[in-house]
Amino acid sequence: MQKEYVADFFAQLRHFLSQAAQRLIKGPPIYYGWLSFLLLIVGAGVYAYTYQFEQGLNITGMTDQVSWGLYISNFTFLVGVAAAAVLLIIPAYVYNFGPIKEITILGEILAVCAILMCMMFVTLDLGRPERMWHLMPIIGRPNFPSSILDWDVLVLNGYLYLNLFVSIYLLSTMYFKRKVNYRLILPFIFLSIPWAVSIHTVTAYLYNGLGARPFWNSAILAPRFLASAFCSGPALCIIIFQVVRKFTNFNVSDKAIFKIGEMICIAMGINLLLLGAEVFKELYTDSVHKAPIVYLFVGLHGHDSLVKWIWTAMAFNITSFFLFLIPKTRKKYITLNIACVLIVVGVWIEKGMGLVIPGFIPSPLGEIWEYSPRLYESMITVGVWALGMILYTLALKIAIPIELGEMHMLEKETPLPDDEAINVEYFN
Amino acid sequence: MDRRNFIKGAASTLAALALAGCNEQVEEYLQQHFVEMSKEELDEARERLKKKYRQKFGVDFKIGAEPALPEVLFSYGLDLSRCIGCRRCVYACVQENNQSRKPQIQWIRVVRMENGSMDLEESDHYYEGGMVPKEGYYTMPIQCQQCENPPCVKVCPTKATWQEPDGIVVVDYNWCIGCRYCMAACPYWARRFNFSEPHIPKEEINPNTHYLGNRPRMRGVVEKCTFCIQRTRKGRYPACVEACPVGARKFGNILDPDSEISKVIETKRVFRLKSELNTQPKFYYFFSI
Amino acid sequence: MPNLTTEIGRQRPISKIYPYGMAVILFFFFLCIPTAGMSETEGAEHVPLPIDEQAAKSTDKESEQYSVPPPLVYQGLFPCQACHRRDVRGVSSQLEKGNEFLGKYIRKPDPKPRILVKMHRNINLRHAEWHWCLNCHDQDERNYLRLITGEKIPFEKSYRLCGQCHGSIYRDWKIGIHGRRVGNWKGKKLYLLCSHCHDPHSPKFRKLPAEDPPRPPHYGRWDVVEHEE
Repeated sequence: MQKEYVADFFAQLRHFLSQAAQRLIKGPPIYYGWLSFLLLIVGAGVYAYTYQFEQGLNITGMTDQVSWGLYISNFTFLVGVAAAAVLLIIPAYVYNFGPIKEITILGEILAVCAILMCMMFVTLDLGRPERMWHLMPIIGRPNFPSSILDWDVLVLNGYLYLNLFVSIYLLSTMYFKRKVNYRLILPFIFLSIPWAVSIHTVTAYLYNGLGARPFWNSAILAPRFLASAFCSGPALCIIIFQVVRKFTNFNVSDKAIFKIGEMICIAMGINLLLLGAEVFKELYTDSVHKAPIVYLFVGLHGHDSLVKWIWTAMAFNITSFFLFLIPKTRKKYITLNIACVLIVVGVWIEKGMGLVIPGFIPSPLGEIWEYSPRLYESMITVGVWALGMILYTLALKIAIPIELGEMHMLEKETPLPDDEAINVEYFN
Repeated sequence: MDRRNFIKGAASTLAALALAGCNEQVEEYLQQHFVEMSKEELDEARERLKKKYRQKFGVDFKIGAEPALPEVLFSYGLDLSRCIGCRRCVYACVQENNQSRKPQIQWIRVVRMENGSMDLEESDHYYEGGMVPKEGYYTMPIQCQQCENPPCVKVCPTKATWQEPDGIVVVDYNWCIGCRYCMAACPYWARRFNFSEPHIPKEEINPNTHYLGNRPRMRGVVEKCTFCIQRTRKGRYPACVEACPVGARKFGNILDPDSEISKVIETKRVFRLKSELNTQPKFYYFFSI
Repeated sequence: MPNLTTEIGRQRPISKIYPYGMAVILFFFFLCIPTAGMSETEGAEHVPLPIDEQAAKSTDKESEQYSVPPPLVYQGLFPCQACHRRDVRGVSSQLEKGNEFLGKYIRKPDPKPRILVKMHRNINLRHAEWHWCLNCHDQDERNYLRLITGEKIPFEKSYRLCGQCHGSIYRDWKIGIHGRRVGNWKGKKLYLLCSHCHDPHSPKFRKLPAEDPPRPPHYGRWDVVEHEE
């Protein structure tokens, strides 16, 4: 009996692996083109990283004055993307909104990839990455619960495993053509909702709790983070869904996409409101703490390298807000896609360069030292993005056929009988 | 099995697995946090460092690990009415504490402000040499304020920086992962990061060091002022105090009512920089006239 | 004990604080060296003693004792009594007889305040308007200073002399607020005398040349220094 199971397991595994390998290898020319394009970028990034590995963070534009740069900016943005996966889960499971439910898994895989990219960015930013084990419990000495960075490590890891578990579970039920055991998985799904909020809240607290940096030390920073995450993440999803719809048989309904559009609109509205509140409070109070925001929006003492960026972001965000707000433009793919691209770029600037960098300018001693990324760190950053995209492409290459039922377990095996007592379907 | 033994076991197993050639690197890599090392382990670590430093600088180093003195809490006073901004302290500190010359790392930053203003944003960090003091301006040296409630210690994810019983905030350079969170958290911009391998000319090296203080650092870690822990734990004055040509710098044990710093606090009006942040610095600025 | 010779020398580049004319060159040297030619009893007094020993020996009216590094003196002028001596056998009697030849060089001390035209012209007296040598220097024993009470004090205790007028500064100096100390915060320390930093004849602090400003943050990090200020 035992032997049979083991043999069966290995047969299934072999079957799955060969299927997966075939799926990954075979594809239309555009698939190869896309992957080799990304691989090229990754290659350049790896080359740049070997240089950084040899030279240290020396090669970046970071200084003692601006001690975090492009890496941490991208990390912050990507935490938002990861958190936004919940936005797809909430309507799917809480309100049982059908069309979104099918695509939830794509969002979850996106979250997993985004978290992996976050981790890469943080590792890249460390001066001594080989000492990462000092962070781990038992073998290292984490400063828990005092350090918010430890909290961030905890929630990001938790979020990674949570999403991995949920998506692998859901995919495996599809693969084995079994019914979903909602009693088992629902608690995890519901847990992932506050958890997603937590990853971005904790990331906001990372900056928020520093009295030394008045620009970040604002109570609405965490809500702002969430609001902007709920714009950029779903906007990215809309673009991805259309690509997926175009190149596979996977059907993402217009209804689902437009629904997401509505949500983005609300989130962007809140984001702009919160940003406005922040700007008002700083400028009307007119205390010395306004320096970073002045630096960001109009420049300080002739230093204004971020001004063009933030106004670009503002223009993008406001334009996209109206594009999402007006039903006509929201429900038209050209304008919708423009709005999505604008919002992704806009939020990336606002939350990356526009939030991390001005926190350091002026320095606590009033020194204004401007930051601009150097070639190699930009190459590494783009490389990480490309690597994340490769991961996501490959994951979808397997996940979508499973969802479509094109890829499944060995047919001749009869699936184990469903235990009705356990497999209660709650909503469908 | 407790944590220590587990770690030790794991470490020794890994060390045994290591090739003879890179044994030392592996040992250094697996080295524990300063406060968790036994005396033997610490001695081994110091021997490793001595060997390394001798190879690099060609001198025999003294790497002390003196613990905090009992009943001592270090505190510092700086007389703003005397400081002329000559930057002698900056270079004495660089020399004493083996700070990198290229790229340049300086733990003390002297800022010059116009009379009538205490807005650091208007301060000049890069004022040129020439004769000082300059009329119409005053200068304010700023370095680690050795906070009683240090935000840098609070945020460090690995406890690589901590406050010693005598109040000095130190860094274990072999435990720091280089995330620079402490730099973002410090309101006094007192921490410096080794973006590249620090460079110190052999002839300028100071071989009298402390494990938690001025021993040469490596790339990728954060460093900061330690009130010259290698000197002060032996009862000596910090280098900047002795270097100041106008006697603006005061140092002592704040628990001793007869110490200079206690007398400063008792008889002069003192203030602490950015006291609204509740960091409670042990660095007092005062005006003697 | 720290090597004071080098430390004071480094931190106070004295030659730079007299930019005009370099009329006065301040040099410090340990008093025990020039005292070789003097009587032994005087030489012994000039070595800084540990605090407690000195206190035990003291017959001073001041209860507190401070160990100080050797006072700074004008090069070639100390000991003063090498010239200003009144104990040379026979000289006094010659003076009393009105020996004209010797009288050119060895005179009776003239207590009248005046501007010196022949000797000590390199001493630029700019210490209040009314000061004059013998307000501080002892008339008869020039190796000593003299308090207003008439008490003779060695140069090592010059702080008492300064403290006569500068009372609040003296108080601050005694508790360590004014002035410099070197050595140990715990244990033996040396109190720098007023005259180590202030020229007693012209006590106003002169300007010092500042050291170089910090290099821009990218200095030495990239191949090209992009930002030179």
